[in-house]
Amino acid sequence: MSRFVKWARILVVIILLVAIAGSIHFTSRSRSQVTIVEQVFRDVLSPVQRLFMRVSRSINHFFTSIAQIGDLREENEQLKAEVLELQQQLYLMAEYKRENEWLREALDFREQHSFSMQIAEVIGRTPTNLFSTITINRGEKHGVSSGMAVMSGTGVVGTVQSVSNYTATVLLATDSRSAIGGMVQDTGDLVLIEGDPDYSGMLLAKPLSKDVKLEVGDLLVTSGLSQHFPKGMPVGKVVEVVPNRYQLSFTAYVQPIVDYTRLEYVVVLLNDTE
Amino acid sequence: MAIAIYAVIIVLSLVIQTTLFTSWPFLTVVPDLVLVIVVLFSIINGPSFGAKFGFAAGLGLDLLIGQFIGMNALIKMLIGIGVGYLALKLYKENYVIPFLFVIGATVIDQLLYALGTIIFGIPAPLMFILTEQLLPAMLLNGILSLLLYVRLYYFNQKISYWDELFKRAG
Repeated sequence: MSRFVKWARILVVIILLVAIAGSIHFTSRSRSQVTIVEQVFRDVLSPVQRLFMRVSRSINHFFTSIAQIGDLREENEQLKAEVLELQQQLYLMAEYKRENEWLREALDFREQHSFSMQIAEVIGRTPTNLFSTITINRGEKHGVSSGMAVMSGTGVVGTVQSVSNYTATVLLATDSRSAIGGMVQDTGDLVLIEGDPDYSGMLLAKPLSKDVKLEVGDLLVTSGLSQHFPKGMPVGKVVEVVPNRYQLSFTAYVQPIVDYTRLEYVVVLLNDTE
Repeated sequence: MAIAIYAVIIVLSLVIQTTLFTSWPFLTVVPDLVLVIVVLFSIINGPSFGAKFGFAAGLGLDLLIGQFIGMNALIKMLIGIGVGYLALKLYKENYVIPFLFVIGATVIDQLLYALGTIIFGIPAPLMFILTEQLLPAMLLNGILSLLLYVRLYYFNQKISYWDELFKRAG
């Protein structure tokens, strides 16, 4: 009997190892549809994560505020002056917008994309050092689905990778698995923007044609060629251009516009129309 | 009852690792609290417990990451078994033992995970891990082990005591 038990145990271990290997293989690629177990697990953990994240932010803000008291007053005065200037610019922008709409109507232009927005709170981050993702507290029940663009107040954050009922995992633009269609704001040259596989926190921009020119200081924005990202959203600024072997092409290192370490709230662009 | 308490400990560790430990900009790497508690509980309770606890904790981590589900479960189970066996003959009240075990486990965990991702198709930057991540991770996890070991050791005794009471009452 003990020999039978021994062989039964060995068989169970083999079956378990095969099942684990199968699970790892099945989940090795990015998936838009997650299993029910994952959905339930993430949805149950979500309120607790939100609570801990808020506590963490409060502690962060408290210590940051103490350290910055001296600079805050001066910055406050500067910001008040900037606000007045920006308000004046806003009035001008409203006028330009109206004029733009009249002109579009006159030329019979149609809007190619229409987006409504879902604001979400960041409730968690990647628990490992190899991947760059965040978890937000909006999911399928709020209209969020895989592939949707995620933005912050300043620029591109990333794309929705997977969703549960009440949460979503967002692949940050700095992750090596991310790829965004971009262009140089000044010239309109098209580039492909990817996360640095060496995990520097930077983005890499690669030209999509031979005659693309990139210089340090160039601002890269979304090209609008994908149906998820509207055109003209800031992605990052070029900080270094590195020629490839034989000088036939180059790769540019891009500093992201968004500070990913301080994300608290993001906006998910819900596609309404084609 | 003991199972429920250990489950709560795993869940709390997962939440803390994905929230508190990831939202401080001065931390260049994320401390692996889940790995630390697997190692510490394996030292305290032995290899059989270490295998089950490691598997459960690793699986919880995998479900949150959403990729390579089973990888952390397998690696942490193996670490639990290995640490549990090695610690059987050691003096458990010594602080240095858990510190050394956690540092060693950090190296094994990071390298095995990177190797696993390479085998299953995603190239992991081994040089980056070895030069930029491993040392800070070992240091942070080691510090965590020094802070947690004594507390977990005595808390584990309480868990056993409560479990015994619960069984007698039931």
